[in-house]
Amino acid sequence: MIDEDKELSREEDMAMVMAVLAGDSTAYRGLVEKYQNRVYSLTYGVVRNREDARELSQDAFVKAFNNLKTFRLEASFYTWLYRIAMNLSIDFIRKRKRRKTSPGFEEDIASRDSNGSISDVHNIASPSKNLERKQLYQKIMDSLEKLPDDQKQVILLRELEGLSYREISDVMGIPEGTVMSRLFYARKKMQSLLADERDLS
Amino acid sequence: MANELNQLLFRIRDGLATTVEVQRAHTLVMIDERLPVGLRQAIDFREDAVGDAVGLLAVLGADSLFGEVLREGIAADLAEVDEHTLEASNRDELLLEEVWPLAEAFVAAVRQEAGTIEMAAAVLDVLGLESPQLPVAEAVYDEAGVVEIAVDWHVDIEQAWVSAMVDGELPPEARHAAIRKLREDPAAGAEMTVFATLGSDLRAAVQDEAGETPYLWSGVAEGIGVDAEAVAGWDGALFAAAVRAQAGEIQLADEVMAQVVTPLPSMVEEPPPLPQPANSRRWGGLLMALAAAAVLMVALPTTWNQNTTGTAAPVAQASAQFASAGEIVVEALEHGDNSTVHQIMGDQGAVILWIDEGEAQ
Repeated sequence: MIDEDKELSREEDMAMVMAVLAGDSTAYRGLVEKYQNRVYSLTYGVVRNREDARELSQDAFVKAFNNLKTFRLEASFYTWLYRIAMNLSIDFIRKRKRRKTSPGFEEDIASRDSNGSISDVHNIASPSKNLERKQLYQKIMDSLEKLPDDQKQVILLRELEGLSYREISDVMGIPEGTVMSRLFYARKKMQSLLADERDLS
Repeated sequence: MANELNQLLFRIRDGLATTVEVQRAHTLVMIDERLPVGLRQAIDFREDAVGDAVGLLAVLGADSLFGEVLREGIAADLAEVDEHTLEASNRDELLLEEVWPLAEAFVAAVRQEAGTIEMAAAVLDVLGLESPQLPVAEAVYDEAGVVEIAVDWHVDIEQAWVSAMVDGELPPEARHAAIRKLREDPAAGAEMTVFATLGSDLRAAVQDEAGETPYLWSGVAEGIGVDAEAVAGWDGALFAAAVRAQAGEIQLADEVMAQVVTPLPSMVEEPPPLPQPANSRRWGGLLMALAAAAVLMVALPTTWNQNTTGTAAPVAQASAQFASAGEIVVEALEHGDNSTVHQIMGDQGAVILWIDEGEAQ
């Protein structure tokens, strides 16, 4: 998004935030509908379960609403929102790891496979190419899951949301130099994991 | 020999020269009379061969790096440069403006070419450009500033520069060295491609697996205690209050009804009056009486008995036969495209409503 569009978007956000703070809670709907797609994609990238991602996304919006009075109006609403969503998601998977279960993901994928209800985002004419693409996506997502949480966060914020290093730095509360190095190591690690997958297959 | 040196310097600048070629260039520089002696001794292609080559090409006027004006000025003034002056022991006393009157032009050209200049510290040193008293030095460091920073690069940035370059986030001071590294190391370019491809595949993978985004507002609205169907800024109660405030107390019922409830034009066509029998009842009765009298006179009494109900059978039959309204069946209705026809069965029989919708819009 070019700077001008970003600024316009920011002004729109501020108008809705101000309306909510003035007492019109229904104005919050505009913010939800504007960012629900991005927040959902982000939380899904972390938790890899649709139902969990949906609930976490809703929780993120609710939490943002409840804390809107603490939001600094000169800051960016969406980076503030992403921080909330990311923190909730990371907390969730940490709790899930402690329970040593990850039923949602396996069931989700398994049920999709057994039902044959594989979403075909890309209009692939050839079934074999479609299968190859699915397998590649599976490997990529598996590699993503193996990354440390901090590297997973930074690569999702960069690749999914297209945030700049500065914005990622704001979301994660880390210096820009750290963003750069974490992103580098995240990519190197995924590259290595994918290469290992290729060798194994 | 001059031509050979120029060619070698171009190869060194472009990162194509072999070690042997660099050594050959060094040898040629040392004996090239086009260059001041001090400069010939200072250049050794060790610290920064590319930078040395760039600087020499500019000084020799073989490259348009510094622009036409400066090249001509350098060529014109080199002959006047005294090697003794250049090698002055006390560099603080050396004022570039005295030795090289075109320093100002040099600065302007450097600023123009600032994005591409890579100048070795040795060249800057011999030319006296490191002296803080000279405005040229500041201009060079401000605009080009590559050499000193490249030397002090932190190891982490050194390793992550490929990733940062993919994102367009490389610090400006590191960009030149990064470009140079790309020239030197083709594998770095391949790695950049891998990183960029990985990013697009990751986006596609997440979107594919995540599926369609669920509609979140209803759940969020419940969580924050808001009616999910409410429209922002539209409060029904407020609207009603505003209407009342504007309308005041108005009794509308009777007047409104009178105006609004306009009786619909009757769509029921009055049936054509039944044709009167050829003979009227009045005359019919008289004729009946006369006929009856005639019958009585000649017919059997039983005939009369059959008519004791008193109903006078019409003597003359009407020319048309009539059925009761309830027996009417509309078999076919023809109507235009801009009218609607409804048939309703009522107590009195069929009611046909023919609604003219006017001209088609």
